[in-house]
Amino acid sequence: MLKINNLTKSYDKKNIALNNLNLDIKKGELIGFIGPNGAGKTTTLKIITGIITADQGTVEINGHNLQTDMIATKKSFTFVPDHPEIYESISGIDYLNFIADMYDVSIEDRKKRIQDFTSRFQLEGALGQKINTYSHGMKQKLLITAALLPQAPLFILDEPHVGLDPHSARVLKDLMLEHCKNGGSVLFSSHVLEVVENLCHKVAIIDKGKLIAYDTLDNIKQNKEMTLEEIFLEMTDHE
Amino acid sequence: MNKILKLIKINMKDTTGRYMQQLNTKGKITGKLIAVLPLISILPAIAVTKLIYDSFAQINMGYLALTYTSIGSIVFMLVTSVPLIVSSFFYGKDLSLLATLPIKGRSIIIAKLAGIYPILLAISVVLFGSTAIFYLIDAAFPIRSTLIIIFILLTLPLAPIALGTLITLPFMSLVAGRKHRNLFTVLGNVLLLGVILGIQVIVGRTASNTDAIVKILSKPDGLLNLIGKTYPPSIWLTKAVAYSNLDLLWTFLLQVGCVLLIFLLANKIYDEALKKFNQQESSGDRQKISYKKTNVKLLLLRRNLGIIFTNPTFLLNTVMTLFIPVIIFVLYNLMGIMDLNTLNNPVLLPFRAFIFFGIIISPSIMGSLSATSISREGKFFWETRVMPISHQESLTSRELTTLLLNGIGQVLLAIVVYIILPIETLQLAVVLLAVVFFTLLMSKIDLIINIERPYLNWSNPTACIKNNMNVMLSLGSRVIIGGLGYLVYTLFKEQGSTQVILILGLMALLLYIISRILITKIYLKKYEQIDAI
Repeated sequence: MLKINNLTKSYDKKNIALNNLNLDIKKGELIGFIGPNGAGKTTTLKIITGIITADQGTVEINGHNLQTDMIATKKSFTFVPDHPEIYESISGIDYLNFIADMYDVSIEDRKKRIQDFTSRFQLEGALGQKINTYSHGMKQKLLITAALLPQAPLFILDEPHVGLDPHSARVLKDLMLEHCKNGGSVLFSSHVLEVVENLCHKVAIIDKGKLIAYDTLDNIKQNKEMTLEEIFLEMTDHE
Repeated sequence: MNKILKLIKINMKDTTGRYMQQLNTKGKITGKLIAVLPLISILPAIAVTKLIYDSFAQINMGYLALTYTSIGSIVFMLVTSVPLIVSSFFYGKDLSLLATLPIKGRSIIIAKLAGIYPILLAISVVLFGSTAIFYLIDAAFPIRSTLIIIFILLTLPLAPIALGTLITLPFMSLVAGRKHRNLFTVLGNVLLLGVILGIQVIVGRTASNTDAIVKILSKPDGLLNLIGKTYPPSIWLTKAVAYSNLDLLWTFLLQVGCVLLIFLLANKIYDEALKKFNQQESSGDRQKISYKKTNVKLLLLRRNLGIIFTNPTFLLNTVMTLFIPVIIFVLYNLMGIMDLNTLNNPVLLPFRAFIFFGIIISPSIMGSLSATSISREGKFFWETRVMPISHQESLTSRELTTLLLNGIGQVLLAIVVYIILPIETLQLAVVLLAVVFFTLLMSKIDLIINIERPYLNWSNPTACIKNNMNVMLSLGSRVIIGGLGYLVYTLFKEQGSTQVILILGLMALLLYIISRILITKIYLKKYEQIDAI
């Protein structure tokens, strides 16, 4: 579903943000992407989603190369950023319709999906309101709903649990699992290691721009009686 | 094409929503008054175009007004388009969202340019459109000319958009990735606007060469060619409206060329400039760690200046409003338009102190810095709420920021003007005192406007400082102050210029004291009630 080969990115040709990163996500997999602050998680996700470009390396999603087949690649994923910065002076429903238009979602499908997702997120009542009246959590739920609308094969989320209430966090977990059950894949970054530990099929750990582990949790643990938090701290502790 | 239209639609909805929210004042009457303010502000511009048309109509060459105002519109639109392109393309917050959507880079560029088009069209309508209406009224609305004028009016912004994009984006691509890219952006834009004004002046001077004028005037359409020399397509469009099908073809081809150019280059612009510029800035350069203690007032002043200096749109706006009078003045002197002979003409001698005063006060008039001093904070406004500082301190620091920035522009201007237009020491002292009082007054009025209408929830910095009713209200207050000033002048003009300026200064001081009382008694409370977002 997602193949990243030798991804390298530096700023000012001095500070290496990503160093030869490789990642291969299969259909139906739910991947947790973790790492200390500034390790390169957001940079990786921004490159995969086409927001910024890599110095070297390739990104392939659902068989499409991001560099050579941009539109088809972008139709194969949707993205929820860490900062919900969107058009703020339009209503929630206007935003959802805009996203549905961009991904060519039919009227019937969008109606059904919007009603389904917003009722699960308890957001139906706010759809007619301007986005700038939304709380951070409501904006986050709107962005997740928008990203789920096209039902793209790959669902990418950057720290999606920030700002969500317990009910919505649970809904999001269910939705991610459903997406994988239906043959899609999910890649999300997070600092909430309990969620990653309980939810993900595989865990990718990045530190200082390098992928230091990418495997199932059991394989990463290597039969040790440790939590993901303890393993993570052991692997990334440089003191 | 469908997705481009959807993109344009969502942008328009967002912009309209923002505008309507700004108009949504508590008092319905105030809201309506504010809504018609932009219309009032265009009336003087229409009066000028009427004057231009009447001048040409008197010599039975009304069509030349079309040439004249089309050039004015093009220059105005080009100058306006540069900061708009920079702000909308490089500092708009929607780029991260747009970059992930399955749409071509070309669509993003075209949709963004389409967002700039209505603003430029408004300029075209006010300057060229009003002239065209005066022309068509006299000509009894011939169908051919009317249709051609409508076509020209709608397509006039295309050339400045294409040119503005072609100039701005490669420069931004060059600046992208550099350490001080924001500073480069501002300097580049100032330089660019200087070059645009400079080219106009140089071409204008060449055209005013006596031999050249005689040569041009001896040819058919001599006067038309003389006026349109700075921008030849203005000659084509005038001839197209009047009679020539060939010039209509040239005009049409120019617009088609502009559209094609944008379409052809859009993808390259997206990859080479927009995407490159929006790469995250390096965090590699570390500052020396300091634990030095700083005075709170200085700290607040530094914070306010920091908000302006770290945002290129704010910085560019500040530099332009404060220093455009300086740039124009220096440029016009270098080019000899406003030379020593003109300024030292004995006829102007009684008005010399007024001219001096008028030039030096211009940064305060145009600046309106305090009118956006709260709005500029945007999402950072909460900081002043939680910091252990009084509201009075917070407001004073905003005023000090305005005074400091205005002061820098005014001191520079005063030095240049004094060299060119020396006045007596006593006059100089009175003028400077009056300038200080007026600057204080305007800063206080602007602060009141911003307290009444704080606009913190902006997502585009241009919306905060330009597409903002506060700036219109601030300029409106200048008109009222100017009216009062004129009243004082007519009442006391027999007393001499120094005395009139002194009275004007005292009037400003009195009004400043009143506005200060108003802030303490009423607006400090209102400031407390502003909700941070």
